[in-house]
Amino acid sequence: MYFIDFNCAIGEPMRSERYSTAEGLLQWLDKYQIDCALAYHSEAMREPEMGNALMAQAAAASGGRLKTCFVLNPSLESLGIPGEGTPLERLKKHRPSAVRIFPGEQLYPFDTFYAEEILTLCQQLRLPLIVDCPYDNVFLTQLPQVCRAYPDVPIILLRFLYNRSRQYMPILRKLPNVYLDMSTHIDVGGMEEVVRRFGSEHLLFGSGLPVYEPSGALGLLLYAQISDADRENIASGNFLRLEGGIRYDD
Amino acid sequence: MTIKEKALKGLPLDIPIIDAHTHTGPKYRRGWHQNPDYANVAGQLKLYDLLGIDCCVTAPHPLCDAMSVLTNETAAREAELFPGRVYGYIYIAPSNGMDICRENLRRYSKNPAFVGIKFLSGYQGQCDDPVYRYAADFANEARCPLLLHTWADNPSTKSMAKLAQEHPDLSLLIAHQGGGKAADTLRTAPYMKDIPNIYLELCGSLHNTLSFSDIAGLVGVDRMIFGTDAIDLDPRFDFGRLAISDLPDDAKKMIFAENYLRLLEHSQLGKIQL
Repeated sequence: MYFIDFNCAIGEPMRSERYSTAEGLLQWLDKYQIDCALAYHSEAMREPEMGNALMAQAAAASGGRLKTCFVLNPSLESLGIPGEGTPLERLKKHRPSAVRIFPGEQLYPFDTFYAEEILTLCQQLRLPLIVDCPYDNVFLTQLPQVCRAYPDVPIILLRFLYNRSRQYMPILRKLPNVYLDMSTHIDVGGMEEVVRRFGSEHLLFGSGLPVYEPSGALGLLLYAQISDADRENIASGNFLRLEGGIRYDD
Repeated sequence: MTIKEKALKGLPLDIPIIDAHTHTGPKYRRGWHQNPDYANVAGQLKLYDLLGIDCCVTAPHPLCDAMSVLTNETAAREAELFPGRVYGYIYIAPSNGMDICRENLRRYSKNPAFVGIKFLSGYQGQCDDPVYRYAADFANEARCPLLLHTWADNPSTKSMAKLAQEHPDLSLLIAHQGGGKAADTLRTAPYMKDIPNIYLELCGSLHNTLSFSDIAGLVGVDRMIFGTDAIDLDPRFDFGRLAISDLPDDAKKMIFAENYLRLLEHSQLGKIQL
């Protein structure tokens, strides 16, 4: 089975004893028989254009094992995307597989007012958007409005599925453009229940490397009582489908 | 095939495995949710069969409402219904008072399916509570395991260490790797160097950035006890954390069952038959 870990980072600012370099990440993927990872460079949190350029370079040198995720910063005219021209032109040049935002760390609400520019860009490109912030009730109240206003943006939430069934069930039922990281889906039998009731198409495999390691998530997925097709969807198929839907060439 | 190789293929392990921290039966309070297909003992055992887990030691879910009589009765009934697969902890609730505590200990210490004592400390009392002290004295005399809940230093590591020091003949199992996060494990580890009867039970590790290999480096593989918190939590997560870790197979076997069986060797309560 082909595995893509969509939730990884590299760079010294992660301050992890596990690794900081792309080579280190690849060694960790090898330990767990994970084929490929989507990663952002943590230096992009401090210097967005530089950090994102480093990630693009690392991915280009990885022989296809690393995919680029850019960190976007809404206060910069470039949104933190390296190169020349508009943010759209820059994205089309670098063709990242996803972008990631940190509304909590960067002190703005994730809604249609404050995140409008990024959401519009992602809508135009159908570019997967990883939203990394505390998923509090304010966020959860805004999320349906964002999803309905930008229905072509695949919005990905991280480490969300633990003890949040009253939240994730309505999301999976009513918001078709939300995708959930399954790595902490440890409500008992949760994987089987979600797949049976809502399908496997909205779950993604991620580890959180280097902060977390993949073994727990692998245990959940490898031993889940779901079909091989569903397991493959979660391991990589769903992410590949999202990536394949990006419209850089239109 | 190594344990890791088997687990990466999703195969059940054919080594002894004891789940030393469980709560049978459903619980839908405070955000908790279980797939109804797995929310009973038969469902829990279906999950165990996927993994190769032989048995569990449990304090059933009425414990979260401090209903010690019902909790212990439930454990006794489930142990009878599923012999060799379900064992019990004698669950003690301070709010039930000293008389009920004594009666629980008297009644269930004679039942061979009960192998230890369980406190839901933090939520239900601190280590110096007189009822807990009485039950700890009992555990010390019986030389049995005492599983203590803790989360985010409640009850404090210091108070649990004091309890262990004052009761050197019991085996104190500090739950949740010391309290759920790396900082909790790192705070607990130095106490374990000085106090030989403290053990770290591993369940609920989803927020702990330390791997189980990291934890072994801090406390030693002989001080780690496998548990999953089923069915509050899906056992496949912490099972994966151990089975797919970098630890050698001998260490995994110790953590999965051998360490716990060693604790029971000198206990006067029940024994686990594998």
